[in-house]
Amino acid sequence: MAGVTLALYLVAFSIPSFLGGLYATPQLTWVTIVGSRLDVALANTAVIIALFALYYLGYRVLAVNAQVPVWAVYLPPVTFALALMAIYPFGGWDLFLYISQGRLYTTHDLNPFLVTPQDAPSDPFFAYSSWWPHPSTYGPAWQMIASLVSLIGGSNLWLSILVFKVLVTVFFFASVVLVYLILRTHHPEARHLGAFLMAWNPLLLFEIAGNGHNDIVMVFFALLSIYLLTAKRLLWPLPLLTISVLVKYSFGLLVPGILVYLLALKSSPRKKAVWLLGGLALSAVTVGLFVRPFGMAYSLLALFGLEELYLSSPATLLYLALQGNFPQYAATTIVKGVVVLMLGTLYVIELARFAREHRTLTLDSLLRFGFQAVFFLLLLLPRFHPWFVAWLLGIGVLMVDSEQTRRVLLLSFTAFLSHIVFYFIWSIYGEQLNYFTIEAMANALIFAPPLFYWFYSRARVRKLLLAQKERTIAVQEAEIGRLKALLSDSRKGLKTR
Amino acid sequence: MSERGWLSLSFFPLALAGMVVAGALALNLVGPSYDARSARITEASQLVTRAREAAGLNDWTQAEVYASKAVALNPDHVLARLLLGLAYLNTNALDKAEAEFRRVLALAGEDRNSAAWAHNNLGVVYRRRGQLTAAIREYEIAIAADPSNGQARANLAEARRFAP
Repeated sequence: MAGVTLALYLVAFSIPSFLGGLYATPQLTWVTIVGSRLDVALANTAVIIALFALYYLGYRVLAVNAQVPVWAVYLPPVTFALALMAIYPFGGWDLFLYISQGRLYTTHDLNPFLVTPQDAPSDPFFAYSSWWPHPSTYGPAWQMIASLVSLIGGSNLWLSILVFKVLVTVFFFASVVLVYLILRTHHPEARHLGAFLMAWNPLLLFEIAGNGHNDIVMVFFALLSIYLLTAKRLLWPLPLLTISVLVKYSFGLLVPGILVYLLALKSSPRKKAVWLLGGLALSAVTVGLFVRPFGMAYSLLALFGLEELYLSSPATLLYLALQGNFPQYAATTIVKGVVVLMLGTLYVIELARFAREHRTLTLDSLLRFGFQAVFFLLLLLPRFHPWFVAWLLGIGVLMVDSEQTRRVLLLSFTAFLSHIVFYFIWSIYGEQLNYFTIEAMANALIFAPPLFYWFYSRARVRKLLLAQKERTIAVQEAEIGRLKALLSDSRKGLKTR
Repeated sequence: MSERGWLSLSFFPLALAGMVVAGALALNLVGPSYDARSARITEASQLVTRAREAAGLNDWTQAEVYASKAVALNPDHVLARLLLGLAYLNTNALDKAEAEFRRVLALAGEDRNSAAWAHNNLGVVYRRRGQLTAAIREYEIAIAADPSNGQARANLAEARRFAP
């Protein structure tokens, strides 16, 4: 299985898109490398389906048979990652942006939260990252990491690309280790299964080792925070989650969950105060440490101010539908209002449901809350990218073999397939199909299967619960009948006497 | 590999996190030195942002003011020049617009995205002048440079409907 998977990665990605021959050409996409043809699109679709079929097969084998040798779980993904590190990052050019933004700070003495790569046209990476017209929308912790790592690559294009790929791949395997460590305490029987689901996931491998996306750094710090919760080092989860939020802001949604969890722990009020106040104080120090080099220039508002924020999301469809009837500014405001309102409502409901369980809170409850909050975020974000699924996978693999695990695995499959729509279908049929149709296709492909699976699972669970309830009632009714008969017999006996 | 061997693995993520914190400490000690040049480039960048916002509101007169100030501060700024060209295009100063888009092409080099937009906008200039063949050629070059440029595709489809 590992051999076939490796062969697929090599044949479909590493050989045709080998970094060594292509790195000197900026802004290459999947289509510009392999060709805008239907047969190529179909072949790549088949490869993605085959990769996920093998992955699913491995998942089922491990789920029913925990006796698989340990090396067979952990060694193959290292070879897959090595194969994918050799490709040109054609599935998103964020890697080049990381390098340029890092160099803005270390080489050009400019603040990446105030200027864009376009402001340094003399930089050797200019042509690779000038497509992004905004200051950095990442957190200061990522900006700090990128600045330091950009020093290693210097002006060498090839080395810089490789160094950043190695960086995120190291964080990826460190995250796999954390999944193993968390599950070793939490669900020991599923520790290898959880690590397998993370390490072998084709979308994660492609987006992290292949395209070098930094989302895994955010996931790593969140997993480390959860690991320290399970290891009962309760002063540290909050500051580590803070670093995660300072890499990318999305896991800010988990902070209230951790606070509620710490408050609900069965311990003395004094100890709880130490964990909470100590954790919050350390978080404040962490924020200061990462923000200080950049001043207070960065702002969440920068994220909300981007007018080109719309891509492959239900919000994009709404925006495109409104665009014809409203001015651009009004359409943007309406869509953002709807998104904030819906996400806020769903989040508050989930948080209230989680807090209501405070007497019986477990790590499973915390994971369920975190999973639902991030799932809603992915569903409602104005701009969705396939690599964002890493956020949810980081939590989903810890809920081993649950509905949530299968939902996020399905989402990772559909998100990977959406690359085919945006690269190939759009490129081949772009003149016949309008953009709304492309977006509608991508939305249906990405979100419909996991949503359908979620609703189906809920309906199935309800049906099972109802059947169980009916069986219990039937048993109770039979018991009551039997007792009534006994009573009546004993009464008759008394009367006869 | 034995299960016991995995115990030491907890040091791997902890050491990685420790390195990140150590890096942050180092960066706090040795920060960058922002100077007058940094301030000039930062101001130009902020003017470009304002020009983009004005362009988003279809206020092309204001966009021209901001973009020309940005170009004065940072003459090699490709986006500032693209925005200035667009402002000229939208105020029907076609000759000035063409000159700006040609400067963008000279500056863009291997930057396919900017080159694609410059070619697309040159196509719009030619289309407005009634030079349909030249416009179609520019749109085609734009799509070849960046196949994901939807605007150039739409413009090409529109122009081809009128081609002889």
